[in-house]
Amino acid sequence: MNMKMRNQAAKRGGLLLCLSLCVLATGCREGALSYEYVDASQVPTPGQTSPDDGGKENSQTPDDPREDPPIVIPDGPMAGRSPMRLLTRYEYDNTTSALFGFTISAASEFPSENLADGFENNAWTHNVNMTLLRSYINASESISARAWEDPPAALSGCVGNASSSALCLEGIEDFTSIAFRRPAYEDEVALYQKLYRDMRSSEGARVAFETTVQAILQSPQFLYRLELFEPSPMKLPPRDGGMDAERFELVGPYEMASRLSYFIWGTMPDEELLAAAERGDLNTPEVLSEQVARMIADPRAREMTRQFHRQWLGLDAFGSVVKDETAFPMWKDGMSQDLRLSIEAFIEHVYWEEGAFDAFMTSPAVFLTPELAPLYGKAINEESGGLWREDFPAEERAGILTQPGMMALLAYPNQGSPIFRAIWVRERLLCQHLPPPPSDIQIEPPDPDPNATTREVFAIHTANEECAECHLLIDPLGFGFEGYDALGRWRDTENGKAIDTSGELIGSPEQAMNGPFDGVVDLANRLADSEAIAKCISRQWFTFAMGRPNDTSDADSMSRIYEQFLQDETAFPSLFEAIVLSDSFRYRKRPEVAQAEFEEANPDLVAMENAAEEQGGE
Amino acid sequence: MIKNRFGRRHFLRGMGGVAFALPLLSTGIISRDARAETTAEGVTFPKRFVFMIHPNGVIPQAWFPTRGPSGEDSDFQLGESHAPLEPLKDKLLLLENVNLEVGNWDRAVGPGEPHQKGMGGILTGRTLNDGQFVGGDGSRAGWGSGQSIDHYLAERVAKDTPLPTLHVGVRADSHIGSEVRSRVSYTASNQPAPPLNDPVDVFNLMFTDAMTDPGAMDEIKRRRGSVLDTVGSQFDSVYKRAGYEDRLTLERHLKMVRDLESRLAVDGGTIGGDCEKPATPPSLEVDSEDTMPQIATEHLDLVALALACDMTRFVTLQFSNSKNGLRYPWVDSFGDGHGLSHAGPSNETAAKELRARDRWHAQQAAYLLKKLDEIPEGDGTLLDNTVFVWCSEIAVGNTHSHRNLPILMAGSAGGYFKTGRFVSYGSERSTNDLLVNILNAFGQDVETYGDAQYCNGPLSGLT
Repeated sequence: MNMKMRNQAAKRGGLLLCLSLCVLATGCREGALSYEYVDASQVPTPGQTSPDDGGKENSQTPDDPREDPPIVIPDGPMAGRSPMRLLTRYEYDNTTSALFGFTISAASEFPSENLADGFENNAWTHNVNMTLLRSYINASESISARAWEDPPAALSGCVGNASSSALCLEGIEDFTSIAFRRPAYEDEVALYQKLYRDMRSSEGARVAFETTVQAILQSPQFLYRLELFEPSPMKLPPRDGGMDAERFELVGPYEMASRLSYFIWGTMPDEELLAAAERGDLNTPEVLSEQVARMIADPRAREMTRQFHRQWLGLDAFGSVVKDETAFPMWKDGMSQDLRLSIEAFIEHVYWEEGAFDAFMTSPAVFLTPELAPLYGKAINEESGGLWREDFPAEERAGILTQPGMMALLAYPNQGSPIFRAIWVRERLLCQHLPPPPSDIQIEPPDPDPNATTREVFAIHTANEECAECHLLIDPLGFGFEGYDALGRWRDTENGKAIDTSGELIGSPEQAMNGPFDGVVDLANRLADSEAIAKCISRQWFTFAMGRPNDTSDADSMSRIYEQFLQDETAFPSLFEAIVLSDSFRYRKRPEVAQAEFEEANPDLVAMENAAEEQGGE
Repeated sequence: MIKNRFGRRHFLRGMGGVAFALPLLSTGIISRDARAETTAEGVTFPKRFVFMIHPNGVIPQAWFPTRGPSGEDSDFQLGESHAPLEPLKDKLLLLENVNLEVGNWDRAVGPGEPHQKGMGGILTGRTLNDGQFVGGDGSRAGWGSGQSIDHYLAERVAKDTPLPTLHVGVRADSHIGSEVRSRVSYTASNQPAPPLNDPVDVFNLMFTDAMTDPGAMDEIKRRRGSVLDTVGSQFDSVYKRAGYEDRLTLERHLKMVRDLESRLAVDGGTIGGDCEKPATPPSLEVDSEDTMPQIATEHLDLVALALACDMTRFVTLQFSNSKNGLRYPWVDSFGDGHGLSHAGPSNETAAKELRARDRWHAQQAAYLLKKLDEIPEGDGTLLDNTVFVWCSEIAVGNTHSHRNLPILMAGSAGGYFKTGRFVSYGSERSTNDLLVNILNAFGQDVETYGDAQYCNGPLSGLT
């Protein structure tokens, strides 16, 4: 196959992928877009459409929009669920590094987390499996062997000339508390001390040391952020509006230390947080605000922000980005990595230098490497010694939507994708979701004309009545991105024809945002001013912070977070602080309330559990 | 300490009267008969189940065999895509008109789009949960809603292998990461079992212990036993202080710890006897089109070895993930896979690329099956004691249909399946029924699996 044929074949493949949407995604209405941001300002909405089950047996056919029951927004302050959370690979490596003072990166061999909403830290989907459990054994063995050579301070009495069994047993008590991020219970300490003594007498000091460390590293209290129900020592008056003390309680101080440190740093609490927890005053708004300010100034907060965006924006997909050598002879292996670095530098810039969401949406800054510069028509900056900032013309670039890296990611090897780009905007930036497809359409797509512009090819969608309904929610939005090719380069023509960047946004959660626009810069400026997108980004951060999406219990917290974010001109530090100060972050349901609600929501599971118990199961 | 490649024979288990020396094979794998058991019926070997999946359907004209003039099931010519499997034809079993009823798009069962349904439904026999994953069409679905048969079987018939299952992937997490379109195996509803994409990780997981000196390994196992005992005891401490929902999570965790504990205590899992030391795989970029063929080979070598060493009896092998847009440049396929699969029938260039991909997948299957067939076990081979199933998560790309899913089986599961045949069903049947056949082959007396409304009893004519 010659190169030209390759290119054409690739192009056909790409175009046809888009057509799959046409096959699948009809039956749309504007109102069928679901919007996942829920806050207290929303009045309960009845199902947007009445279920049309048309006599079908299965109530879950895609013809049936399977509308959620009407949303009932509870009144007043509340807090949502607080399930235990398994450390992610990132958190595991950070935690073991902080605990031992050396880095082994054992988690690089763990299987990947199960994603939810793009996030790795979802409490319900990131869970253990046998492979992971087996990997924990290997990891704990590697770490404990290294720790024997280079013990953490708490365990220094276990190793070396001055070591003794008595010193080590004392050290185990301290170490257990640090590793567990809370004071260890006596019964726990006794277990580890017993293991140490038994192993020491049978196999000597080293084996005793290593096995004890392994047992601690494999304990659920280490592997999970497990919030136990201890009465909080704090007797704070609930804030104005009144938290129902019968139903909610403040998160305990050590647990709050972990909530803070894993949210803002992705690692275990440092000494200062643990000291504040010990004093017992960590969960006051004043102390929390101080701690957030301190923590945000730390480099670990930057790294956490990188992690958030890696997941939210799907940046791991850069690993799979390839471009067609025929269409783009200047493309080189390794450029996808540079584009990833470029996006990360942009995020770092808008978060920590510009500091506000507005810049995220509108900044014309693009960060280049020597490899990338010629690709985007810039001279190499010899003095930069790495990535450097170039401000592109404001009519070409505005914020994340026009970043070359994002455009290249949301594209095929040989051409851009209006579909990928539009769905990405809907899902990730507007928190909107397209409705399920119809069940009864089968269309064999025609062979597209390889000389057509992307826009011309996609016109098929809207020319076909069945396709048009849904694609009106997608294509006109995506067409606005036609000014960027598959590498994210600005372009005026495609296949010798002038580029048309006119687009239209319909069905967005905010009426004022809807309407025609010309090019992404126009769109980006409109989105930057919108409430819907600021709400969506605060929801994404909330989801990341809590390890779960918001539910109706969080409605009041969501409103307050968003209001604070807006009041402080969408400054990111304000957003982090507002999340930490929210009721959802500071409070949790009392155990009996949580249990009653869980049982009500999961009757089948409860019946199963009860049956197992009656059978004398484990 | 790593044992020499041609090291001493170390029988791992009491062999009764069945210990017999086996010749070294040129493949570098030596069969392990340590798991053979003498029963009233004579010497029996463990049965294995290996499941292989590739995304985006097939070209049916090239996949399905042509029936011969006699009309007999055994009278058929392999399809063009399966040419690499020709030497193993007598050990193949191809099926026609078996539908993925839990996903069947025509009837649109449950949440999700066809790719999602196919991945989450094929081994679980269930529709998907509701959830947050965005499919190719913007619709949403959650994870699979039940246990897959590999885990079902591992819990029941293979309690003493070092690992219950092995899941390997060749770029299984590429682009979309870990979501319903990249997972086929489930320990339970909403509990997908992730594949390992890096052969080095597979090697470390499966063979670190096996490469340790058996004497030293006994000590390590004893220590691990003590550690896990302590871990288990500490559970009690947190359990009594945990909230209700967390207790359920802790119970699941503890159950797995106990399972792992008993597997680790099993005498075995060390190199010796008929299980050879694998070479350490090279460190390769795992998410790259440049390394895919090599990674596939490394994985297949490790899978063969894991089975030969009886490290596990249940394997899933995944080529990328469903609806992926990967290129296969090494077979001159430069289009993106999912896009190509949508091409209309008149698009010959796309069809040619897809045929080349199907054939490459067949080569991978042939490579593995040939290896398994070179490992003697009793009168037959390891392949004879295996049931291998290869399919895709949809039947055909441009319709996304789940009708007539392409299914190729190999190995007879110890003589249970009658191979060397192409079996076609007049009335359409369900993949759930095939799951029942497989369970029956492992001695599981079940009549349905997964959601019973999609079951009609085991497929006829296979045994």
